[in-house]
Amino acid sequence: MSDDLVRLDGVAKHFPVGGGFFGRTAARVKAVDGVSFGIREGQTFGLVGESGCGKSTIAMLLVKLLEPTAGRLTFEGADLARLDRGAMKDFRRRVQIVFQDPYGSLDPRQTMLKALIEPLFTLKVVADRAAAVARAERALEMVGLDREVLKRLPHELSGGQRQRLVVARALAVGPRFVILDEPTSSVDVSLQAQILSLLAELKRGQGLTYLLISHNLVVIRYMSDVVAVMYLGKIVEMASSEELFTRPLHPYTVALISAIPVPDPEASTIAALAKGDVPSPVNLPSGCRYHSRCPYAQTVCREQEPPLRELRAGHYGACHFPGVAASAVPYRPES
Amino acid sequence: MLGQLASIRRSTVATTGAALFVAIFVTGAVAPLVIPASVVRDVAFGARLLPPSARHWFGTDDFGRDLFSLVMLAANLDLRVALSVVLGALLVGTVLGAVAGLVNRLDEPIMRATDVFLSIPSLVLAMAIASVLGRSVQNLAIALVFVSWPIYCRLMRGQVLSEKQKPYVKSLRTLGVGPARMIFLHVVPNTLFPVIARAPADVGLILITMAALSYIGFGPGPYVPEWGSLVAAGQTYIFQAPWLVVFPGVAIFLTSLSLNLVGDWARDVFDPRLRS
Repeated sequence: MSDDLVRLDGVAKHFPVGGGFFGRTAARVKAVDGVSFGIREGQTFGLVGESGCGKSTIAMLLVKLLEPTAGRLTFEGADLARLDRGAMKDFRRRVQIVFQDPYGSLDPRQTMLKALIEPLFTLKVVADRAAAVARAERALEMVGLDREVLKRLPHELSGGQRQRLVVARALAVGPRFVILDEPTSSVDVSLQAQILSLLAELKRGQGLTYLLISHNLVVIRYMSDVVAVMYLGKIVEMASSEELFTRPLHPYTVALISAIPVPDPEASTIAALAKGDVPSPVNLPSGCRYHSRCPYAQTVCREQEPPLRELRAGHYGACHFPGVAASAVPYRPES
Repeated sequence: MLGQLASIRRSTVATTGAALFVAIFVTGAVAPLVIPASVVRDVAFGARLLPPSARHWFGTDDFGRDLFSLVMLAANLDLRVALSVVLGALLVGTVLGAVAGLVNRLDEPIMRATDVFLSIPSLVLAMAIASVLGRSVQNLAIALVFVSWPIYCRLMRGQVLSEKQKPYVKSLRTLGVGPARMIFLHVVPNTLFPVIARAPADVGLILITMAALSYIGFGPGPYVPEWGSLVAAGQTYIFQAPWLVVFPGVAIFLTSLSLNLVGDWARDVFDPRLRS
């Protein structure tokens, strides 16, 4: 669709591994293996999956920390592979990322003031120091931090403060699109809700578009308009958040949803649980990538890889037997 | 509470070390100005091997020279050499190490060169270099730089490699920080200080190596006041006049001890997490 702010078309990223003695490539990890989706302006697009499924690789591709092996990524219709120097600065101003480890995301020797104003100069957002400081202070205010943190070093802040500061640093440059890579995985549970509502509020206030990456389905459900479920480098199911959580069609999605803890001791036990562990992305299973763990797998699943197709209006899935596990979902947030 | 106690204790130890080192350093700096050169040159056989007394605090050596003056004068030479050796090694080592860590193409050649240097026992290598260059203080210093740079080189390379992988580097790239700015304002400052913090303790180590080298005869010779040479010259008389060995030995020990204490302190100071 042309009105997408961000688009991925058949994007793949393979990493050589092992490397023989003389630099021969022993094998390749297919971290991302043919992913296509679009994010519309103003949306929160949730990307969910187990660790190692390639969701963070997609984030890195989107901010050009990695280059795709195949496929095309576009932002505002422009191909990310063809940005010249000037366009690159512009791109960096418009697309920002908040990494999952806020402590690691800060230079340990930089005070928070320096951390906040350095990008404003490198990205040429402001011309002089006074303007930069004013902008930094405004960003702090947006995330609800006191000006007092400006003279501190990263280790002198609490986890929640660091997370807010990293968000402030990303927002200070004035982005349109923000990638949130596990934004709450490094803060205490008590703070997660705070951070999430702050993010939701900032989105409304600044007119942002989010790509939210998480392994936490509750977070994804709470924040997202559209959700895509990834498994071993591919999207297995994608639909609006409402649709996906109430009517999951792929057995993997069903397994993930039924594994969400429900505060009800009477609730039926997990029915559609995935078997065993995630296979190695170096030796992908034949046919459907999920067949080795799927309790409903048939012969065809071992032989043919199901394509991602529209199963219902706006609801995409890659399964030979969509809906087979649907009855086993105990997660009913409405009740 | 425990942390506070530890930091107080650490600071007392550091202050003692620093005070001791400053005292030795000042002695070394002032010695040549107040002690006449004739003390080294003039031989008085009538006053050979006198025990410590009010007139000769450390006694006299086998040429009848005042040992106290010699040990004080030696502080000047030893410290000058040890400090310049460490500075030289630090400079060569960190620059090459940073290059190895940053430029992939040069990593292998530089690291294999350090392997060659590190695979030969440092004392043997220093002896070989010193004997090729000839017997002088300057050549001894050069030999010592040759044996000590690879340690800094490796340390620096490791630091740079691990620093490059830290998440903040990725994060700053997405914030428009370019390669030059990243290297000189973020990666190198974060790597340099742990390497520099090592230096004071190494000055002590170099001092001992230098003393060892001149003790086995690769030093500047018995007429130049140098702690290692003084010990070497004194060992002949170890039973008749033990002070000849004891005083220069104690000087080496105290200097190296003070530098180690300062080294511990430097490591703490350069760690931003311990700054308050």
